[in-house]
Amino acid sequence: MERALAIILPGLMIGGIYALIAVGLNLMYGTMRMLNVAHGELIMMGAYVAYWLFTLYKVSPLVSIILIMAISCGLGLVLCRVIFLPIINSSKSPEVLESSSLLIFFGISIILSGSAALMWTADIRGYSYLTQIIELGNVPLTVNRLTAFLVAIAVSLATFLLLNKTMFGKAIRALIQDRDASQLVGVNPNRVYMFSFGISFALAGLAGGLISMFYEINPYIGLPYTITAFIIIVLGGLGNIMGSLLAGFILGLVETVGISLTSPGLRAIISYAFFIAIILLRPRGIFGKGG
Amino acid sequence: MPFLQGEKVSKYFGGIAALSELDFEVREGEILGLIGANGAGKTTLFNIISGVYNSSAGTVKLAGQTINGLKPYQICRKGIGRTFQIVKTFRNLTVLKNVMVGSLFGTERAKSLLSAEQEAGDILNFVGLADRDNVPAQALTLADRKRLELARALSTEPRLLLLDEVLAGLNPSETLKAMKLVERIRQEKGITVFMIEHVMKALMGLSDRVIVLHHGKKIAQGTPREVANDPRVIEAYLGSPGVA
Amino acid sequence: MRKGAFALGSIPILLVMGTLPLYSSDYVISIGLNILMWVALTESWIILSGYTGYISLGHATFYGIGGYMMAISWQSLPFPVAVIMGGLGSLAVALAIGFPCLRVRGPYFVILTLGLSEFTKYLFINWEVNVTGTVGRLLMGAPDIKTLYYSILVIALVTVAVAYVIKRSRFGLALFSIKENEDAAESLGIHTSLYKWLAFGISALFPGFVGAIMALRSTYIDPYTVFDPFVSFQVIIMAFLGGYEDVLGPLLGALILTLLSEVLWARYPYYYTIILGVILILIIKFLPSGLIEPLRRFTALSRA
Repeated sequence: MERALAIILPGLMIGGIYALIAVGLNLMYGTMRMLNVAHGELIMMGAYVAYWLFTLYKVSPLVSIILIMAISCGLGLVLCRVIFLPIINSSKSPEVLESSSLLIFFGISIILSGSAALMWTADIRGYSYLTQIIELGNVPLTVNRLTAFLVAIAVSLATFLLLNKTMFGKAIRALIQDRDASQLVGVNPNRVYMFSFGISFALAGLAGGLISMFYEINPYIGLPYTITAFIIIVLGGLGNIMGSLLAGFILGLVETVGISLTSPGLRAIISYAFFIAIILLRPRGIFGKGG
Repeated sequence: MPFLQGEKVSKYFGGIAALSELDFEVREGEILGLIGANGAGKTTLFNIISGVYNSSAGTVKLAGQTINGLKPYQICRKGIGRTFQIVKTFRNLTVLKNVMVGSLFGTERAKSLLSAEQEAGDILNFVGLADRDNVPAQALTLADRKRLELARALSTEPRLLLLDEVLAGLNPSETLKAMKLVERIRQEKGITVFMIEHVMKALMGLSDRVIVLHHGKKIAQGTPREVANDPRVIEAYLGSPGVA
Repeated sequence: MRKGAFALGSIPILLVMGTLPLYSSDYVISIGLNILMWVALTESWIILSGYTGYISLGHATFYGIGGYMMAISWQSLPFPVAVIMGGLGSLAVALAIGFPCLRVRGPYFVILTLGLSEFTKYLFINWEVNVTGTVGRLLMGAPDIKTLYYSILVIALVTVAVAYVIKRSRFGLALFSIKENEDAAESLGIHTSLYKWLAFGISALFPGFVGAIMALRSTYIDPYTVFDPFVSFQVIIMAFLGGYEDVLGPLLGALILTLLSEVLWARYPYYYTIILGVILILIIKFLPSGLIEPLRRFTALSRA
């Protein structure tokens, strides 16, 4: 029992972070069918900001995450306004929009990782914060992981409530259901797009700040997070925020249990195999054939 | 033996029956109309006949040969052509290339690009798009794109043509032209036509027989006049303003 | 008219490329080699992704498999046979995974190919560590640079020719119909899954050849370098920069970016990647058909 708990608890801890990451990605893919493949790079950038603020000025990451969220949100709004709204409103078909936005995000991702490497070198970095150990049901956990978990879950739930209990959230979900119909009932799509970009980017930055407390970072940590988030939103359902939350936990568990049964060296293979299987087994489920 | 025959054709999406135990037949050389309110299962039926969907139960036979389970490209080569409710022309290809595709791939015979081009030219002549053969399809008006889709379906040398709302969205003079074209397709090419249509007046004038679907079930069939006077049809359509 | 101009314009280029090693330094030959390598990779990429619209972010998979086929067969097989093995190895893998992968459409296909490429990389890393107990392979006694240059030249020419012929064939029309509307293509009698599968195979064959030859060029390979996703990234950006619907586009894209990377890569690699990202965004936003489009308008104007 205790041994099982020793695997499950850390799995849940990381699952909470995964959930936060996936909720952010889902917010964009669900509302706009825009697959932000730079989501992981935004996480990476957030992690660097937290790292530098802590290392240079001893700012607690729990404080700097607020700043990081503000910066990320601003970046999201600017990119949405300058690059994406024009192509959203001028693209000929949803398919064209899907692929061109993906490629633009892809361009953004290599700009971000290139810039991080340029400014801060490709060295691996990390810092120690809240490394005290507490016991939860006899399972030792570091305080930083527990804190990150609590923040991640709180923010994910807040996002869920925002989308499901407020008028604006209802507008967004109307847009998810039907882009044309939502316009009829007076939802301004451009505002919804801006909002989704802002929140989604802020959540990515936040996740980065939290991760930096207990994982080492370098300019290339982004892609695996994007892949992970993608697996989760496919599992949990496109546009389904609560689904992402639950699927985040599931994936965290699958990963930790999978690794404890095999070996840490297989970690990458396990998650990519899982990813490929998910996409291959659900192509019809994802697309349907329509009409 | 009917030309196309369906027996107890059903299709479920999740637990919902889009079509249930539908029996129907299409006779060689006729124009058969298919009507029903939105969600009655009309396009679903076309998608089953043309192989886009597998039916959940039942069989579809073309000239006595079972065709359900075949892929759309195989059904096309068996001699069933179709158009789409929302036109699916190849927007960036020229009008001529659009039609060449069908003539190259839609039949069992192997053809050179050159002879396909000639055949495509002939068909464009037939539908009246010959002067626009070199413009990309996206430059056409909706009426012309629908005409192009018809031409493309014709290029596969079908014996049966499934037309999914070819008149929708056209103005009165375009509608008249399109109706004439459908009539000529039957008369000059001898192709059997099975068509979904919302423009009731047009359909009643064109078709020899009509089938009425309601919630996935056939509620009436017969000549246009018989169907129009059928109390079940009148009841099903009462309060359904989409029908003119 | 345009066909004639194309043939006429290609003669001097062919002459220069064909005679380059006779009068050039090794440095110039190596630049030529790099250009030709990217031409072959990008031209082969457009056969699937440019013509059908199934955008692959996994071209590196087949480049890497070619490299490893060479590493395995180099000591026992003559050079040309080993190169052919590289191509066939990639072809076989593509054909084996093609059917299920190509059922996946749109952005899902894009990210699936990226995942597959990373998955393959980690498989090879694991294989090296656990089975052979090494990190990479040394390839001793590689042919000189001129031999490698001419091999790549042949591959590049064949790739361009194949991409050209396919575009103008019945096969090419099927691929373009799939890109325009797959459901309509299928309803017109095109066996779409078969054609996509063939295009995927052909598209994978050439990076296999290239990977095999380039493994000898670098004389050392490991999974990180031959399955580097950056190979796929560069291919896609070259294709978008030049234009991906016609054979001329990749020639243009490969030439420009290879020269740019020649200038920047050695000393400022990060600037180079950042510039690549910027180029991609600008092209998608302002010139979705690539540089070939304004060029064509310009030549049409000057002719009129």
